[in-house]
Amino acid sequence: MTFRAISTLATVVMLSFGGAALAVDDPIKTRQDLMKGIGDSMKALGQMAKGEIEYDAAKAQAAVETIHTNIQTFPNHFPEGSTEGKTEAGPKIWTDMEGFETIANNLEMASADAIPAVGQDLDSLRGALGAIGKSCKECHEGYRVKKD
Amino acid sequence: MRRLFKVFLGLFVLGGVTFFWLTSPERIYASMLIAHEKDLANGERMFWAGGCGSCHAAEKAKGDEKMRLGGGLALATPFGTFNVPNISPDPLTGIGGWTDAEFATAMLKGVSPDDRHYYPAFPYTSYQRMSIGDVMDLKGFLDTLPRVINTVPPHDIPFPYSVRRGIGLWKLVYLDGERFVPDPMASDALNRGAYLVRGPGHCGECHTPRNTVGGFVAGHALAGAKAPEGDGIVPNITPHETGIGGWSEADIAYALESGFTPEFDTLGGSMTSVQENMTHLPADDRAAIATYLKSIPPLPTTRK
Repeated sequence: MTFRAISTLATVVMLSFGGAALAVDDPIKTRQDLMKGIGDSMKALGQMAKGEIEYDAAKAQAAVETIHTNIQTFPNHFPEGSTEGKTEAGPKIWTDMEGFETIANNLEMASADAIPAVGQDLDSLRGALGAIGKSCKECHEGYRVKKD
Repeated sequence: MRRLFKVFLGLFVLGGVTFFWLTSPERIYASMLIAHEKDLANGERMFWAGGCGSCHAAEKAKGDEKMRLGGGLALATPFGTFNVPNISPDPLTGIGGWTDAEFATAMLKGVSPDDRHYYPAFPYTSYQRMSIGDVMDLKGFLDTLPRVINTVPPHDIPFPYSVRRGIGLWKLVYLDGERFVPDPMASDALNRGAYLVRGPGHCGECHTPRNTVGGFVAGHALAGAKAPEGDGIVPNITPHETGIGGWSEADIAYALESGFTPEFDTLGGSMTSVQENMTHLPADDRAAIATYLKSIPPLPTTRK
């Protein structure tokens, strides 16, 4: 292995560790990125449900898969004290972490069921959207504090 | 010296009498009510538009639970903690023993059957806009709901707000006693929406900013406010670009029906419960609310 290759590898390794460290250091950004992925997916699904964009089975399934993936690690990014800065995480997350995690689990299950469903047809998509939206609403009711 | 004392005493007594006179609770008497056959279906509509269950049912109540109005929810506000009363038809711990006139007095004058002022946490500054007929229908519907036996503790409000008589002064400034009057030039939908928003729906109670004594800040109607509880905000719902100017009427009606914003975020916080109430209204009413909200003056978001 040449020196160049080793140094490149070292750089890559350092960068990826650095990236991981950054993610740990900034839980607010990490969880907001995960939620943004869920939000964008909901928008795509919602627009299909309302007929604002054309129904596309593959795109709908990809959107639900993003929701399913992102929600699995979402509750892991709320360490004690991560309330400083621009965040809408409500105080109840820390006083009732169990309830918060339960809603995330419900969404994980609802989205798992929805992956095949949204691929069938528009009516199934509309039904699945309701099941997913129930968790969105439940969590935003008690655990989010709107700031702007 | 003695004379000066007499003058002061005189002024003090005069001040006291004036205060007593100015702050005396107003009532509605049975003789002031017109004969009215109660329409329970309309009463139910007023119940959901008015959102009674969002404060008077148990916290996080869903579905039929929202019709069990035993009270007990504690509202922590800058003025102290309000323990929401039992308004179920239980005659001992609820309001089952109230006459129509007593109910109308509470809704339209903010005064209890034992002649005390209610705190404006009970949104009578909006309910006073309701028609007597709608108030009577609502009473009729409430009478059909389950009796819940629950004694609610008194409010925990520190001085000076603990002096209820002082609310009488507040009412002189902030309770105008005006019923909603439809605009003859406006469409039925617009008038209906205006009535629902400003009367039973009491949207301004949260969406309009309040001053330090809890009165509405003039010129900022529905332009957003600090949340009454916690450190959040209540959004601007005027058709300004910083409000819901980007939403169509259909978007607003859809949000009230489904809970989804045009971005497919969900309405949250205490609006979740309000939105769930709105699902019980006929689609025409949600559309009317949307029509009205698009018609009001666009105002930049209040930051207070």
